[in-house]
Amino acid sequence: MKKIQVLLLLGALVFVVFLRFYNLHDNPPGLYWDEAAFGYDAYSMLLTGRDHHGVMSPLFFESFGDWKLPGYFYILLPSVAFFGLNEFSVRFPGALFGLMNVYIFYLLISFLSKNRRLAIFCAFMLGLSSWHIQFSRGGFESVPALFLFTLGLLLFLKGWGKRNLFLVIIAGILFSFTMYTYHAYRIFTPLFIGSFFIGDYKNLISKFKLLIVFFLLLVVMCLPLISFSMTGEGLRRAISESSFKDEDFQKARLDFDQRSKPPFRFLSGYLFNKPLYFGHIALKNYLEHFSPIFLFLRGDQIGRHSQVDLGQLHVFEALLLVIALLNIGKLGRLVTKIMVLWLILAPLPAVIVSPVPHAQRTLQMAIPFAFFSGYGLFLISQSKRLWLKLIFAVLVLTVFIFYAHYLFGHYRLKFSPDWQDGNKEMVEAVKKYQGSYEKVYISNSHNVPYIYLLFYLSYNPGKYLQFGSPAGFDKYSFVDPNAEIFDKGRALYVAPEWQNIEGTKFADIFDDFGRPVYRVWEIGGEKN
Amino acid sequence: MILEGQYIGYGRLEGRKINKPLLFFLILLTIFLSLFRLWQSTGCRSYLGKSDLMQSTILDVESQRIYDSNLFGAKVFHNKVIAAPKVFVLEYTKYFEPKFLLDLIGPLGVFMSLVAFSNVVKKKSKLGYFNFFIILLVVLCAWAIKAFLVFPLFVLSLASFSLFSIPTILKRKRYLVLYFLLWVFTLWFFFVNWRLTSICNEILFK
Repeated sequence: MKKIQVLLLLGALVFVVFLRFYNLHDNPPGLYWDEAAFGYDAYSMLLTGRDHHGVMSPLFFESFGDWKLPGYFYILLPSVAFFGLNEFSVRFPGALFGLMNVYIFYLLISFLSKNRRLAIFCAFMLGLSSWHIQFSRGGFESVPALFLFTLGLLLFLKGWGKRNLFLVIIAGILFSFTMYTYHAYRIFTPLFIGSFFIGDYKNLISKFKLLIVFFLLLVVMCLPLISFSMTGEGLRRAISESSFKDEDFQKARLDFDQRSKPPFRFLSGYLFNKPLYFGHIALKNYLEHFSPIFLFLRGDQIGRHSQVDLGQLHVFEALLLVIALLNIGKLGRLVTKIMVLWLILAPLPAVIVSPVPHAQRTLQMAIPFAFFSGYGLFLISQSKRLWLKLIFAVLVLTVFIFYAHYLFGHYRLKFSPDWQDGNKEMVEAVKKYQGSYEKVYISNSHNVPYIYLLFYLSYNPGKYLQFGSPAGFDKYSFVDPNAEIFDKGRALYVAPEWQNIEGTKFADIFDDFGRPVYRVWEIGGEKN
Repeated sequence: MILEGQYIGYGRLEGRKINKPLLFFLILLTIFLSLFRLWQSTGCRSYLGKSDLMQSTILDVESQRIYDSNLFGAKVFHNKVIAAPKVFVLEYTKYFEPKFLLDLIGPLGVFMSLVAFSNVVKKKSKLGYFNFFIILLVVLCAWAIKAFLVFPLFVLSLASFSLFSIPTILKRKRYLVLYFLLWVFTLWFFFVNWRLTSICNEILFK
């Protein structure tokens, strides 16, 4: 490799690290309540061996009643132990796994295509992928899960090809870990493995022993997950967010009945049946993930999942994908098959739940897109037309400057409500004013404030487990805005920003953009 | 019977002998579905409103500038010159939204268009590329004038393009089975989805 190439590669690596780690504690702004729960449960596990519900080394975490998978909690343990309980420690594993994912992706493409140059371009595209960066910068389970899957696939393909039982076993363990890390992989991983075996059916008999060991290992590893998935707790989230709700079907049918006149009305009984209706919904949900607007112009509309004003992929990737598509025949069969299979299966976990399109549940799409974009970039780099390379370099640079402007300039201001920004400031205010009060009431109008108190006070988990609950601990009580607390003596009250109270106002609490979130009052005392 | 390599207007058929009556039957079925959808669209009394590029551009610029404390930066990153193409591309791309296409040509149309696209790219069919160019042009007209005539042109150009998939569908039995299943599904979809919510404000048929 030439010196200039090594320098370019190092420069790219520094840039990729910068995009994932720079200002991680402050951007995204605030701390989303899931992140706070991850962090505090990890902290609680470190000090007491139990989560904040008092369960010893849980396999499934009750959290806020949504029963989270255990992967991210356990991944957080060393980070919280090392950096303490703060925003950075909660987000650090995501950024680290995101970074390592780029390297493993390089190894995977290098192995599949036997072309290191192509692999470098693909890894570079994943490193710059706005989709991947977005989730690497937050405490999201989807990033470690994607890393585990990519590594598992690399080891599996190596082991399967060389009939290496050890590698296949490690891959099986990693695959099962993906399912314990993020919900989407409970669908994606088995589907991918199953489809791979169907595609490779000719070799199944000759590798029967390997197959049986792999299959048994997966089943044994996943038994607790399977049995949990059958329980009410395991199904709760899937049911609450299902795209196939009976009430939606009945509503659509009623609408059809009301709007249709004879002779069509009598048909509704036949035309409007569940399998067809839900089939249509599933197809629509699936296709939504390939919407050019979602991919290139306006991404996931949930502020935590994208820049919203930009697509999940960079605009210039549309050109790269077209170039890759037109030259797909020149790629090796194995790498094409694996990446196309990956792309086809990746949106499936998001099909059965709403809302769609959902960037987190389909983060695994970022990998095949990075591959095809990288291939397009690789083809341009091979071109002998210098002007083409120059034009493209300018285009990439321009798009990237704009992306950086949105990521480091707009994002933390525009999407602070999406990240529950203002809660840290609320805890700071409580610390400042609570001294002379025996009771502190905090409105739960902004959802689960107790976790922020626990998190930012680094409250002793042993004490919380003994005397506390989500309704209150120590002198803190979490109350409904309509609760009758005003005639119970002098107290500090953290009210929602819209609530007018007869009392003395101490402070207004704003988010990063200056939107009011809370107001701190003294109630039950002398009026000013 | 059509033999290997014979030209049938929508690309060259390769491999096995192709059943000619089946070929025409598939073309007829596809055309029938397209015409059925076209007929449904004649019930559209008023079309969805046209978006104002200028207004959307100003809105985009203003809504972004509030997040920039530096006036110079705000002007560099958010101005009409940059926002207008962005808004235009966004408006233009709406016609290629899966939701919109599904509404227009149904699941079968989407499937056939995808297979057709892959065929055209693979065989580098000039006729196919020309047809695709027509689609892009019709969409441009649709965006510019939104006249009721554009809609039939769009559906017809999409239907015509989707016919490029037929050689592939005929080549494999599983594609053929999928075609018939999707045909029934699409017919059902068109019946259920009378209102054409993607293009019509109000529809005559109820």
